[in-house]
Amino acid sequence: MKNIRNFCIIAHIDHGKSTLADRFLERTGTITEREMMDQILDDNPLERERGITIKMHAIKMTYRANNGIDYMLNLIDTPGHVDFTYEVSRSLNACEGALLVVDASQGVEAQTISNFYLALEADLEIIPVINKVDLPNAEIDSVRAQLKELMGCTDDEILEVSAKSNIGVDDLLETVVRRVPPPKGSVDAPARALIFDSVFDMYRGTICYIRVFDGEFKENDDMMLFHNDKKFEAEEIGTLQRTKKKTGVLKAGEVGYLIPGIKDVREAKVGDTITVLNNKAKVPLPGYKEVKPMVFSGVYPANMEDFEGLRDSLEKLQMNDASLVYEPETSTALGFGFRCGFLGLLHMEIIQERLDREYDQTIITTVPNVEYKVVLTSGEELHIDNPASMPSAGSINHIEEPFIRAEIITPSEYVGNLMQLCMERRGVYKNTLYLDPQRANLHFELPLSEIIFDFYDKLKSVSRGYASFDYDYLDYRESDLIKLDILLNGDPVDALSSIVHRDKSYVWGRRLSSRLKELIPKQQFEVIIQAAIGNKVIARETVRPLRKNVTAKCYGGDITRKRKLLEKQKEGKRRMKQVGRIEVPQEAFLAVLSMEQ
Amino acid sequence: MMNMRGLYLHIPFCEHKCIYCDFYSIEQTDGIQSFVDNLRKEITMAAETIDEGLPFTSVFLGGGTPSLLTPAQLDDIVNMLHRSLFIAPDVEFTVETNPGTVDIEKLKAYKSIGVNRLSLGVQSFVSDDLEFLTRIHSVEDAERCYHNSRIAGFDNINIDLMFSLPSHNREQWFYNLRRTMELAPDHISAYSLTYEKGTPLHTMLQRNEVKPIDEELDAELYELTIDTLEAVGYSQYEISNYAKDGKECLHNRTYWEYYDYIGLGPSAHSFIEGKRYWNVKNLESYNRKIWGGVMPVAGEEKLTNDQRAEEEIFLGLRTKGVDLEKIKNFYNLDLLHRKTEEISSFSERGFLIIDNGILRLTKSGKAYADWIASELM
Repeated sequence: MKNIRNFCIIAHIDHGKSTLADRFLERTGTITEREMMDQILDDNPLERERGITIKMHAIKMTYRANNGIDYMLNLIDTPGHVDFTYEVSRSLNACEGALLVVDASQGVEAQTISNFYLALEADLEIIPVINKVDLPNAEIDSVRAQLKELMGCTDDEILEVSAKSNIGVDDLLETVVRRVPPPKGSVDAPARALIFDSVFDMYRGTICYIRVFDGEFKENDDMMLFHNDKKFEAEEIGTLQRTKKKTGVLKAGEVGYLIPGIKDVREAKVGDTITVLNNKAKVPLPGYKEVKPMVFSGVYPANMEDFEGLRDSLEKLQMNDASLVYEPETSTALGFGFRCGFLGLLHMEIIQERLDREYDQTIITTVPNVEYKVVLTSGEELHIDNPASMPSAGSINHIEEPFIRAEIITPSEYVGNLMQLCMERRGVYKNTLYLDPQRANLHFELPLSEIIFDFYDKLKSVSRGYASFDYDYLDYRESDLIKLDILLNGDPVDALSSIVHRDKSYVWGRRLSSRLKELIPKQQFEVIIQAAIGNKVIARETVRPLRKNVTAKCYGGDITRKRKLLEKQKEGKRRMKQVGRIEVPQEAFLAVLSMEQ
Repeated sequence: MMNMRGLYLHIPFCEHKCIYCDFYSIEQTDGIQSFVDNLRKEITMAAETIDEGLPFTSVFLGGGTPSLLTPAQLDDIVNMLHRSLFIAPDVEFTVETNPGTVDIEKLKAYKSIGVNRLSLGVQSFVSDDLEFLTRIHSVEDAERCYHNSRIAGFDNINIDLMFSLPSHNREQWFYNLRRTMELAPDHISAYSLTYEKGTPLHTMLQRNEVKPIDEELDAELYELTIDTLEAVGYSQYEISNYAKDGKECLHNRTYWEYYDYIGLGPSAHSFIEGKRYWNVKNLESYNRKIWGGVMPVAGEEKLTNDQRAEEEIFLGLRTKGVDLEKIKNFYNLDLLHRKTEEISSFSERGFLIIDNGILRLTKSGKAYADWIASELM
């Protein structure tokens, strides 16, 4: 066990985490360059396009150090996005050390800081690494200064590497061996292993990625999951190298996989502890929690008949991604569909894209919203994840909404712009720290609902792309919130309702109705769009009736073309939702997202 | 009812191609003679494949600019038609004529060859409009051409007009209608300017160099056209076409009333016994195929029962109505039953009526022809 090193790499997006990991794999002979290419090709295309790792993996490497001893290095990958913070924290807990990688030209960014604190919380040995030091625009000195300020480390603790050009990689591996402590634990203690990831495999069912802390886990042993007391017999156990390598046993300190023979991946939750029945632990490893969705949206089939198909697709998706939750709901405007809960906005986009690309579902989604706590005058507390189900204003004592703690790292010249942006979003200013004279770290507390629309885009635009942003969830706070309804020809359209702050409701209502006016095509009759709070109409727009679509001529003998045009027109109508007599295109349900702020 | 059968010949040459036109043509005219030779060959080739017992009741030369043909070239073509095909003695024989390309001599010669109907591409009586549309003729050319046609003895003349140009308002369009009525042609086609993909006009639209008129105004101009022309004795027998009594274009009706027609020349379309096919849309490959002795067909489409029913429905709505009994018997489609809700809702709005088993658009319904058709398909 003293020759095992479990570690991870944490970095802001694009700071070179995967390149460095690739270099380790090559350097230790775990994967050849050729295999590396194949591996990259096998990746989830969505992950590659977005340049992020959605799901983490782990890999075991054997490294002969300068002292001649062979070390078992387990590199545990972490997801790179704030939506998956809990999963990051679980994989950090599977390690004893972390490489904190910072791009030499970009410096410390928001995710660098949040990851640093997560690693600190997990009590890891943190090795600061400056990557891409051979780039012409590298600013090594100032990045060193930022790291020292952030971590309180000394100059000699910081390593300089270029993963791309293979500079300093050997040194780094030596440092991992030297500074990352070996696992503590004991083979003789009651068995405990942490599930830091679990995936669903079509042929094998659930596969758990685990870190053994104490005891021994052997194939065919009877085991148990702590959070639900679920008992099972381990079908297969092994380590993760190029592929899964069946070893039959994992001992204290080791990292690998375990196939529990459980069909439903939701039973083997990330963060849960596994124990062996004949060497049963009394208490689980600390830190397990149920991941709760933070962002909600209605997902409806574009065509009513596809409801069952959508249900099947969601079910299959959930097998792969236990953090997705959904339940059936009905909308008077959209018919039968599902209310889905996501970890965050990125998670939502990924799920929606996968439904479209992998499952070929044409869906209509509604504007995302957060979950509100509504305290009624009767004292009863409701959790509302759909604005349409908000009780009437008269029965509400007050409404609470989730707040986040935001960390914004920015060159100091944009501090003013960013302050203004956060204030507009109802932010509560906390403080500003300076990493160095040119680099500020702003702390704000903001309502989650204010950042789920276009906050990130705005942040980038007011800072010319330089500011970075990360957040974590704080708590629920009382806010002066009201429900804003949209009425089309006098009838409220539930899928267009939103919850907004009272101070913003008038502006919001006006903008939303004028955007809807642009999005709803002319019909054969007048369409009146109204924004209303309760019975009070606060904005009104009119879509004038379509006079004709007559001018399309039919000239010459090419009747085929004319028929195809009409068929296309008919097809276009199919993609609209019929709300009463009014045809509403899909984009209208997301009007808020494209509204001028 | 008389049985119709149409013959279309596409003459793909223009001195200048107008910015809005999306028909196939080229701006080089030196290939006309060899094209005429090939077209004559295609006529003989086509003759071998079709039922020769049925007469062609209409011949229509379109383009391009068919009036670029010299009388000798036209005569050659017509001779070949009579030699190879059964042309009805009372055939309606139309030539699309660009006012900038004919003088009285040519018109007289055309008449003597057997042409008995002219379709004049006048488009507008306002110089600025003609310039915008990049027409090669002037307002004076158009009027002279019209009068010369009468002098040459033509008693069946169509004038093509275009409305909803970017400069148009009610007054300007009415001015065009008034000038047209003063000439008293037998037939008027009035099309709203469309911005067809692939045309220079469409490019201008995308670059914001041209602004289409407001849809409301477009509708007003359309209704103004119907009201004005009907008031002076033209009847609207198709969405965009108006004729004095008995002067409806037979060839158009062949397309719209679902009779067979064949089209020769590049890009021409044919419809025979439920099958649609079309020629290559390229002169060089057309010439090559004819030289090689093969029909220059680029594609075909055998219509399914449903597609045929759909076509009859939208074509019927644009013209004299849909014969519900016929649709039921021919296509086993009970439209009233299948589209009960749509039909009753359109009827309530006064767009549709059923009159002696014929489903027709009302005057206000005509403005929504495409929409109603797509709902009933």
